[in-house]
Amino acid sequence: MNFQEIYFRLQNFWSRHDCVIQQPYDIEVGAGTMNPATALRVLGPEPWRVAYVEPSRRPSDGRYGQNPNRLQHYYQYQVIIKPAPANIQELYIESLASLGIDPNDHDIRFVEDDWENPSTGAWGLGWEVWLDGMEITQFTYFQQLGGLDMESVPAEITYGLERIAMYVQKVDSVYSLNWAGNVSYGDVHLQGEIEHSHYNFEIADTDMLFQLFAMYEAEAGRILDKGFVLPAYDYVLKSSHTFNLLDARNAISVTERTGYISRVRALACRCAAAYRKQREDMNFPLKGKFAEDTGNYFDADRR
Amino acid sequence: MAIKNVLLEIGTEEIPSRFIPDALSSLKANAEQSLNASRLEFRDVKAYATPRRLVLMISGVSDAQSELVEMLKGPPLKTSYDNNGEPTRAAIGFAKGKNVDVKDLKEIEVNGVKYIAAEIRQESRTALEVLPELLKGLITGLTFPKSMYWDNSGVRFARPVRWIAALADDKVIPFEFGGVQSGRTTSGHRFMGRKAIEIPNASEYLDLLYDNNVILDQEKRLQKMKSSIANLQKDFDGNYEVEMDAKILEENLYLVEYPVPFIGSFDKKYLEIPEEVLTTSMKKNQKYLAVRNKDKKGRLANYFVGVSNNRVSNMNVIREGNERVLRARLEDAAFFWEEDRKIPLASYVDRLKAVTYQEKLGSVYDKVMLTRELALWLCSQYGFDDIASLVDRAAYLSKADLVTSMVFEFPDLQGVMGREYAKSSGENPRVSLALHEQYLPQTATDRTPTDDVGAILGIAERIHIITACHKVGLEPTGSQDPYALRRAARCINEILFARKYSFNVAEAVKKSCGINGVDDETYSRIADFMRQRLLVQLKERGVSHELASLGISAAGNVPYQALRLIDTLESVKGEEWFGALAGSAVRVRNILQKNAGEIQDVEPDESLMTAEAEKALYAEVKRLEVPVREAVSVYDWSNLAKMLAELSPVIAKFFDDVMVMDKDEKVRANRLALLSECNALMKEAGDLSVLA
Repeated sequence: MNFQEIYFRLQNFWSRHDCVIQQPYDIEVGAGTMNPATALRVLGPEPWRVAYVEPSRRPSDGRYGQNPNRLQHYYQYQVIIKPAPANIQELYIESLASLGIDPNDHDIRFVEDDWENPSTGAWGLGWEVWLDGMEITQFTYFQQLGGLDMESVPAEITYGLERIAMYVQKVDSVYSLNWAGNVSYGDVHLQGEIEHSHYNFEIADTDMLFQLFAMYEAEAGRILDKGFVLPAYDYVLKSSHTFNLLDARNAISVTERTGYISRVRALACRCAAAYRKQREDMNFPLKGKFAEDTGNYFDADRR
Repeated sequence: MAIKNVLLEIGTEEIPSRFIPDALSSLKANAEQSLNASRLEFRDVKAYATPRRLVLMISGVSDAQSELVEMLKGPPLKTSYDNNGEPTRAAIGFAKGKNVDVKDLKEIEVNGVKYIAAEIRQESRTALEVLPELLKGLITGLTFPKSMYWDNSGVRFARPVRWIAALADDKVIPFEFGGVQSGRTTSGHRFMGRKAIEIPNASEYLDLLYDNNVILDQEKRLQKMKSSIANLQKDFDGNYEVEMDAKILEENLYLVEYPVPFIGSFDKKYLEIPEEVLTTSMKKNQKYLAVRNKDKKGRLANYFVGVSNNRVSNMNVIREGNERVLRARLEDAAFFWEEDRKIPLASYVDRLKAVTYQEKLGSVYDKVMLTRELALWLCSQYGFDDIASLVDRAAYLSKADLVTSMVFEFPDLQGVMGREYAKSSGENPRVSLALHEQYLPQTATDRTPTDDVGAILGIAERIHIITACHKVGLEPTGSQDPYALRRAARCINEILFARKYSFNVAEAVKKSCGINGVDDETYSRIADFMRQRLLVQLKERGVSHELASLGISAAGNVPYQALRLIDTLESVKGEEWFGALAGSAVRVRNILQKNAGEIQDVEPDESLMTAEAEKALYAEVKRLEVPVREAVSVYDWSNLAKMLAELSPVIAKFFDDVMVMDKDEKVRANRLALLSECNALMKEAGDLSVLA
């Protein structure tokens, strides 16, 4: 199964389970969680089901294309199901089966791994999912985001697409993955990994980045003051990515780090509160737009 | 007819393995307590757990609550009835309040006084009436290190609760928790069992689960895991042995409902990497058991044992998957091991300049240099000149491994990597060893350094950290101790005790304050902090508060000697002379305190002494003054005890025969002066009066 087939199948699977299939966000994010389709939609009491691929940027994780497992740009497959149905774990396992990973032939395990993201004031409890010892998915029940308690608890399923593909294709280097036809993952991304590693670690203009950070931060605040949430959130994402670049350049000391993170978090929290209020003012328009579950574990579709 | 079995099964999504042992014991204890409090008799309570279920099995439960007749005490009898024997308002009010007829009031006697009483017969409910609330209470009463919400029901648990089976023999015990209604349905193994299984009777539950590949009883599951591993081991033809690490076994025990151990292997070339690196990857990340050669050295073999939760037709798939994961991790480690050793360890030291230790305290490099100075001072001060150059080198290299790739990737390996990289850089073996031993002990029960070099380095670094953190206001407050200074103080003492070092901690702190440019006020706070920690630590070793404070007042700056003094006093505490001496110390203290105004700091005048006992005491004090102080200065505590034993009867006789508060002002002042001197002498062993 080639790389793109994996996300096609996930897309089809979650589409069949009433998810809105969105596309990646058009601003750099560190993870699919940052995409407003997750970060904002999980707030408040409205139901929401979404799935999308998210190219994720972690500037510090670059290895100049030399490490077979580590990338500064990689792909997540992100699923949010809110509220989480009683059979959400079974659904997830079924989704693996749709990738040809028959749970009866493997050892699939849910191993404690809680998640938090200080720069969005978010945390949740859950697991890393092991497939024969390999972590292939992060599975989290959100408890808080933007400093707000979840009013309706979503399950977040984040598949590591490269990991899964490497397992399915039995290769030891991400760059050897077959993407489609005769094209490998390396053909698509190796040069990018090399160049961006140089940029992230050596070339990025830190003075400019510091300026940008301040400008993005100010702009986000200004937009929020005028009562617009979504454009303001874009600038939160930009400031967050700018911070990650500065961090990769080692331009921020350990102590300053906390300060920068709390500045991003303050904006994220403001956005969260403003979004929650906006939805309430709109009478939570998504209410009733998704089929409701019975809530009974044994009634939910049996295997 | 009693209920044979009450079953409660809390069906959950995977509960973190580390939560389960505690949850099991509190579930059992809470159940017993609730049953007793509810007056339900029972024969036995058993608690079981797998990752997906917490289970209680209560056998032999009585059908109904045992009877309870309570006598509730009312007003005294004499105020309850008037002279005509009619109930007073007090009695009527009491009866009304307790909802009994005045005619039915009883009498009871408490401490010889008669009272009226109301006899209340508690209604006896059936077990089936009591159990729903009781079982629900057991679920809500469980607490976990972390718990979560998963729906709008408002309840919290370690992970979502998906089903509840609750039966009294064949009857459902109905209740609701977190939107889940209890019933008689359970669920088998996630992959090797049926999803929904009806339980006709609680007694069939364990068998039903077993048929669905859940070995519920953790003891049996552990046995199964161990015997399967023993079977696997046969493949090793007696050459290798699986290391049955109890912690890893327990972790795996609560990660599976049905254990299927399997052997995996990795390329022998990775065995060149230090063992701790390999075992960290195996144990911490993957929860594998290590396999060792059966020879004397017990070196690591290129195998591991993993525990699958699924028995599949082709176990090779699971084995190969796990091998691939481990290979990726070991490949990383091998890469770091090669890269890091391309330059000698000493070459990393300069890079520490770029690593901030703490914002106000500068870089790790600065810290290393200051530690080094203190370590050298300790050597010169306490007779370790012969190893000063080794300590100096070890101090210089002490944090170099922090900036290697391996430690960046596996922070737990700090120290271990220092040792290994030092070895391969050709450093002196004692220096290499010290780079690891500087961190010992790591836990309260951990071993202490085996060599002076690491011990001295470890003490120096910890004193430095304690001083530096106090300097910039990072000392512990309440439950906050972000730089683990309390633990650092504890480690210093543990090392001093174990290595029998008579280091004067106050002096060392003073030196460290000088090195760090710390003012006197801060110095006093640090010295107090160190004494306070020593007190806590001695008490944790089982020393009484009094004895610990006494040891500290006499020799607290030299913790090892404080400990020895305490041991010495502990050994003579029961003797008669010691009790007498402590009693005398109290009298001395009281008299001196009471007459503080009259005491003059003068040598007692022998010509004013009239009583024999008085002269004898003076002579004894004079005789012992020099040898006692000498014994104290060389920490000869048994000799000190011997001299105190000699002094004891002389003071006792003095108090028997002599009236200190003589009418003659001069005589009185002279006797007070004598007692002051005597007091000063006894104080060399601390304030003995606290032991009276």
